[in-house]
Amino acid sequence: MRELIKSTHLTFTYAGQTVPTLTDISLDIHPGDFVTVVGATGSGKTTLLKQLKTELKPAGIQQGQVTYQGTPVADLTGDVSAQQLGYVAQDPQVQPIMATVIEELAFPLENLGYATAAMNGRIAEVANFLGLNSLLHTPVQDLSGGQLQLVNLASVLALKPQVILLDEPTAQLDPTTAQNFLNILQQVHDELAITIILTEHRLSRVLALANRLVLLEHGRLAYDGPVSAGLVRMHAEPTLRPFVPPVPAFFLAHHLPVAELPLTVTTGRQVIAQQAWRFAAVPSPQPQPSPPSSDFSLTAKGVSLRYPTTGDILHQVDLDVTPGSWLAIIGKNGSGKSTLLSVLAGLRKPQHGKVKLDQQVVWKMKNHDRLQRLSFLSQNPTEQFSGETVTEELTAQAKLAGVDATERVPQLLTELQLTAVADHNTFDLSGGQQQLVGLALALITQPQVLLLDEPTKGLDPATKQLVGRFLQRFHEDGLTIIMASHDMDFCAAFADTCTFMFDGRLNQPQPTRQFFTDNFLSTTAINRLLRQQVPTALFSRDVTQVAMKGGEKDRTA
Amino acid sequence: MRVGIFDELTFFSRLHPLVAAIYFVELFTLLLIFNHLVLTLALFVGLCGLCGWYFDRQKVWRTLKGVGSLMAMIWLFNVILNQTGRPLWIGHLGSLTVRITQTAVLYGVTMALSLGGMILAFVLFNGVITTPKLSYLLFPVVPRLAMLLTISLRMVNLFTQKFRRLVMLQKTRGIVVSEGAWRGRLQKTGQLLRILLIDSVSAAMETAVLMEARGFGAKKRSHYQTFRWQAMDAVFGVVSLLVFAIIVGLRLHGWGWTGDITQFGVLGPGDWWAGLIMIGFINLPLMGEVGYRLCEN
Repeated sequence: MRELIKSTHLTFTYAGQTVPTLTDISLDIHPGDFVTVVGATGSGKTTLLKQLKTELKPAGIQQGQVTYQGTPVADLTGDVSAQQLGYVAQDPQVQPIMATVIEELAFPLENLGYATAAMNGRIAEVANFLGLNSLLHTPVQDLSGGQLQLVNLASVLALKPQVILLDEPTAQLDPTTAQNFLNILQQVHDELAITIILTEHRLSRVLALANRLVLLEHGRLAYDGPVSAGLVRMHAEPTLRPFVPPVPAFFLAHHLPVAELPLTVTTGRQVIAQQAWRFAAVPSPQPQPSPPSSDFSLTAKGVSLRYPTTGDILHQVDLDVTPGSWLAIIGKNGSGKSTLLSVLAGLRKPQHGKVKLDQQVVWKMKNHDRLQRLSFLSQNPTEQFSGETVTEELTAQAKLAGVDATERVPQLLTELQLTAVADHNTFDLSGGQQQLVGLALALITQPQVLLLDEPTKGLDPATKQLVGRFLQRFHEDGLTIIMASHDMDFCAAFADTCTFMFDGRLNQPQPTRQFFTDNFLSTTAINRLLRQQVPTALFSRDVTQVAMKGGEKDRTA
Repeated sequence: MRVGIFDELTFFSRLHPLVAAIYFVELFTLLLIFNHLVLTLALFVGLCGLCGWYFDRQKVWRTLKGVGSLMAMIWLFNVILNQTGRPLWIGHLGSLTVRITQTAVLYGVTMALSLGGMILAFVLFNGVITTPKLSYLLFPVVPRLAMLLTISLRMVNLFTQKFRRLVMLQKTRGIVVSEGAWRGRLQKTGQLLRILLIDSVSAAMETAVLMEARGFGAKKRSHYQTFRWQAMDAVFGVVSLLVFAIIVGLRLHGWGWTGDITQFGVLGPGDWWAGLIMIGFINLPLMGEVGYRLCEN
């Protein structure tokens, strides 16, 4: 089959840099492929994707060639490139340019001079296919992140492209919304035979759709082939192991012999049932000694908040924070988690109720006094940056809290692996690095309570582990953490207690293992895989394989 | 100032953008060419009624409170600065003699009503001529301006949202615009604007690349046409033009205007008649609504 896109010995070096970001990449993409490009942060995934469409190419020096249907992509005219190669960015907010959904769908068609009748036909077709009919006249600013990303996809689809390039399209979405988006992407691929090339960190959902896995390591092509073999390769490499989704990782960790690695909970369960493999719980490790409790009280009583445009968001929320605890608040987008955190941080004043820190109402405290005791990290950390270098930002924040910056700043930079970018402007960093700087800013004031809004959003699995371990260390020293998150695995791995936020209300917090064991949907992939045999299992390490009748010996985790 | 956007099913929102735009040109002209109290009052009251009919009344009331304070200020300045005409009260402030004159009071009220009416007409304009309609109107004449306008309005919206979030979140960095001395507050507002600018430029660069990736600039742009000319557009356009022509004709005959402000009175000759026609003109959209509903199946 003739290749649709061909990259031959592609090497790319960003302007002003000496080390190439991509080195000698040779890759063929065939019509109908669904390719997932995987790699750690900085491995060159996004750079590779941007080489495939001339308008997206960053400034730098390119060697080698990328062709589309035999023509170098740099030689494609603007209209051919727009029509044949679609692109959907990571942040759903940056693409829309028009006021309403219908105008946004018409935008690329207008750019290419389509007549009104032709536009009507295309828009009707795409809106019907993606179920956007009811949203056509909705202002773009009123759409949720998931709806917005769907509109971005629709706007690209309206031009009937041959290939769609997607750069971590679900990174900013909650798991349910991400799943819905990927289901639609699968429909686009299966029913319209459109070639999909997608970069992604969260592989648990996307790999089941892909027919090829491309693995990049330090800008080089480390693997290109079927998904299952690629996962085996990734699991063998310690730095890439966290990227392997939980279900295939479980089979690899327990050395379960399978011809093709299961990628979903359903196929995993089927394989376990067919092979009649049995598992038992591993005795839990001794509970960790409780962290030294700080002497403070943080309580919320009857907190109700209403936004003028969207109505009630918090309804009579009560919360009594245990000093030294790590509470995870889980809920869908729009359930009120972020609003609650901003109220607890004293940044927003609710219409009713009080939040008190040691009998002081938090939003009435002097800002300086409050930020020495409460720290808050937004889900978009750039909104807390000043536009200085990393070192300058951290030094200024340390001075604000009266902390000695001379030792503390270098220490945090080292611990969070930010030393190499210490002199870079915070707005020029990658999303993962910005999250780490945000965390350092929140912790440098040595607060008693840390409020984190989606701390793992957009992070690759390895950075997520780094963040988790880093926070755990502070928690062991007595830091109280309250975080809002969609990330079940992260919450299950690190939080002490978890609770649901739903319809503006907060449920009673429960111990983490009990919370995830009781849940049916909102739990870890391993719990869903093994709950029939070991209901308390949350991770692969929680179980061991037991001997079959007259058969094999135990295989331990 | 935006109070809302009309319900899609109203006559006024269904009107062809060109006809609606002409009606607003006529309305703004009327607000500018009369200076008699009764006429400006008729226009102001008529516009209050029209806004109350089409928009959420609570929002209109909030707008009126804001407009009212501005109107009161205009009146006050007139009373203080205009010392001509028959004095109603004379006072002394040291060596300074202060007069409150009938002309100043009446002319101040008229000016305030004109300004209030202008703001309400603009609120109404915002509700009827939405961005797509404005872009549709401008596209055949100045396509680049139409596109620029669309992009700017979206960007202004994004900036406003972003600025609100920055005001809240930058408190964690010690930037609080509601605490401390005024000079400090101004400096902190400057810091916030600088951060907003850096953040926005970075996002705008990405948006520009994504526009180009979707073919922007590759060919001459066309425009997605969503508005069709209907019989009701012709009827409304002709009737409003006729009524407007009558009112302008009356004005050319000297009705509703006093050149010498010292002669300014509560009621001029023919004001009642001109006022009645004016109310008729303002209520044309409501008459259209009645007709539109009568034509429902």
